[in-house]
Amino acid sequence: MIHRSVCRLCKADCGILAVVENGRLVGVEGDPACPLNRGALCAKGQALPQLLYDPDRLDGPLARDGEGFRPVSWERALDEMAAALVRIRTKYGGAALATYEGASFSRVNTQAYIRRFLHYFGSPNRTGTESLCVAPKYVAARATFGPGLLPTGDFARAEVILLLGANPAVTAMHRYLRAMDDILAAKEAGGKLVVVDPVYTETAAKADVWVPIRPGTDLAFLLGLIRLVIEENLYDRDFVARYTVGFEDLARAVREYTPEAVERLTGVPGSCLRQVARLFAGAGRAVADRREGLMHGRQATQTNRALLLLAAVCGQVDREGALRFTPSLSLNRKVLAEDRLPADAVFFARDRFPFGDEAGLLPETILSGRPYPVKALIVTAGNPVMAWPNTAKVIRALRELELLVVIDLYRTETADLAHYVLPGTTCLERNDLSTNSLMPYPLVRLAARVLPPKGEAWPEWRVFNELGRRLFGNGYAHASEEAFLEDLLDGSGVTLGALRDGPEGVVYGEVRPGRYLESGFPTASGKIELYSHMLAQAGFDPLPRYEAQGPAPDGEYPYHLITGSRLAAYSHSTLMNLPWLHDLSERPCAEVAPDLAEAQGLRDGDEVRVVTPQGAVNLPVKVLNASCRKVVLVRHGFGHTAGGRLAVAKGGANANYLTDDLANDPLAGTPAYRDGVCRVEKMAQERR
Amino acid sequence: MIVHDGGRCVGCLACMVACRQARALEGEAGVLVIERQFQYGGHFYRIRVCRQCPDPECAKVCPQEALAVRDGIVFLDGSLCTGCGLCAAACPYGAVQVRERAAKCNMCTGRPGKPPCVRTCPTGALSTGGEWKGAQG
Repeated sequence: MIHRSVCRLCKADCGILAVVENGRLVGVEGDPACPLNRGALCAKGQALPQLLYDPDRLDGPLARDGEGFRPVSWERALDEMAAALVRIRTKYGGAALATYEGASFSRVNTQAYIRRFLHYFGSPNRTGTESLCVAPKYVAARATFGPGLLPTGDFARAEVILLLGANPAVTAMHRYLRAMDDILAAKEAGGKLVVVDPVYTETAAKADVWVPIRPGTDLAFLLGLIRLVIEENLYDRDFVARYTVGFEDLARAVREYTPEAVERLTGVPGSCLRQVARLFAGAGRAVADRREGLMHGRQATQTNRALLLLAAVCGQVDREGALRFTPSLSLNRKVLAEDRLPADAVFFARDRFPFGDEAGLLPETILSGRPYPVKALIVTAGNPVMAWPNTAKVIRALRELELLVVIDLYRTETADLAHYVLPGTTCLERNDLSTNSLMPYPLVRLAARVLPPKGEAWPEWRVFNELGRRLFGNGYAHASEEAFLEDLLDGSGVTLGALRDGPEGVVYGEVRPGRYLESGFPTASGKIELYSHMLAQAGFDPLPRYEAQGPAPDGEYPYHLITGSRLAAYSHSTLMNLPWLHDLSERPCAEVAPDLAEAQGLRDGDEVRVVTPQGAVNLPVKVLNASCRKVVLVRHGFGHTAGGRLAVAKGGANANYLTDDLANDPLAGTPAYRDGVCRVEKMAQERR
Repeated sequence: MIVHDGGRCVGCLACMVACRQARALEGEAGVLVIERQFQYGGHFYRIRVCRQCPDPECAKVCPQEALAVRDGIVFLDGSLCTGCGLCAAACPYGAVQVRERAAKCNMCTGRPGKPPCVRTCPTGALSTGGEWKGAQG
């Protein structure tokens, strides 16, 4: 029997067809009817059957027993967890409990049931990967266009596509799998692709222009582009006059970013800056778009602002072949039970970062006890030991907790530190709602369960529902997962029944380029805010300005460190236990710029130690044949010490031993995973 | 045969895993390989898979006569195969893999529609060329 569902191994949410025979999954393929992937499915999605039946998956709940674990029943685990939570709340208050959801798992419904649980408990401390990942673009978009409007590039219809820190050939930008297909089609129709990235990527390989920019300096590059398009009169005067505010302020603010100044800061020659400015501003329809590379620098939010301002002054916003907006689906906020949260409950990092949820700052909070104690953490489908910055500190902090609960498919590195480890589900074993306004289509789907949970695993929804029932009484709980989803959808205009009847999805709105230009933007001025009132009111620069945060590479740490370049076979640290994916990525290495390799006499295979103020890792070297100067790339996700035999055999090192949890974007709090400094020490080589 | 457009290919290797998944149903390993030579100034992605030769070298050398051309596809009868590896040695394209037995692409003719590798490619870099005729559906 063929079931329609949605792959949730990343956020692209490809439509899939799952073939089940005699209660066994025998095949997974892309759904030709889904407009996001049109029948395609990436290497990871194709490996879903191996994930589902991985013998290393957790069989049942585990409770800590000395240095190890013993099996325990769900009832016992939940009873003990509830008792521990009551104790912790009595002693420290409700805000002592925090939660964290992993990237691929998190959806509107998971956030809803977890926030509901926390609000009943009295805690505002829900964290997820938004703060580690996309918060800078969310804040920048809100500051420029108003709440609820996230721009995405209309690649298929663009004449020029300018991508910064994005590698859609590998990642589909976590948006829709056909992104690269659309980009190549635009190229074949005569369009031009410009890729700005310190490293030569699979997408750069398809570009007309690759700009090898110094890590963390994209803000200067973008301000330089804005200055040029204004100075050379290439900007869209009419668009600026009708739809924006703050142009004069912006023109003044960018004056200092001459091509010479930009070259000094970014390493990009003035001739290249001019070429890109003319290409972008000269196009009738042009997309300026970005992904993670622009989220993980120390000035990430202002960099994202500058990107939006470039698009705006060139008139490439809310139009076809440019940046467009997908409206979001309004869900039933009452499900969140925000009225249950005490009025004085403040998110633990709110005084430092007003705009995000700051998962990466939990270790500092736990260890310092400031602003208040955090003593309990529930992690769902996430792996802080592998994903959060400053691994040594993460481990110290997690050990301080009085209650750590991990819900996962495997006994991961984080699970190894937990008091309770609960078996979770793959996406094929649970129901979720798939919808987000970063998709090019206003689509909501039931991401349906195809098979019952394996072994003793429970859908994650049920864990929180039953824990909540113990803590808050029957009035808290929903009778079933369906009842919960119906409650969440109440008032949205979409019912669970409609989603079940139409597994290909319900279109709840429309993408209509020009609608906000016509009706106005939900900003203070009603227009696109080149000068942002929201940022001014919050005490931040209302116009982007390049101001280096933290040390530049020098002296003891003379190189740029980037972690986080992506691989097609894996998603972060997940899926490394699957045989079908195992030989699809190269051996984990420290990938170094050619000038650095020459200066230090490094050749492929030499063992090196990469050192930062936070820590050090040992890796073999791979010399990049082209990159920006003095860059070291250590991809994250490797260096497993748990989570399955093949995952551990993969080897490599955990890049987050090197990263700094206190180097954050000042507005969004996102860690500067790709804007660090390091040195490289050549180790004594073994004779071969 | 499976035709590969190196210009459209982005080296994502989805096709390799689709092949593994599809053939696993028959207890067979995947047979499609994309070789990536990825570097500035000379990167390429190249497919290594059976080209369904009309007069195949593999069939000529097989002592068990386990390889034969039918409807433009070179079929390997696994029940006759002893895993001697002569076919793999003879193939000019390195498209035959041998573990206990030989394995090679048979265009997934047992399935309806286009082969899974072709259908799964996110950039449409794979197609079936020549006079391949699939099963109805």
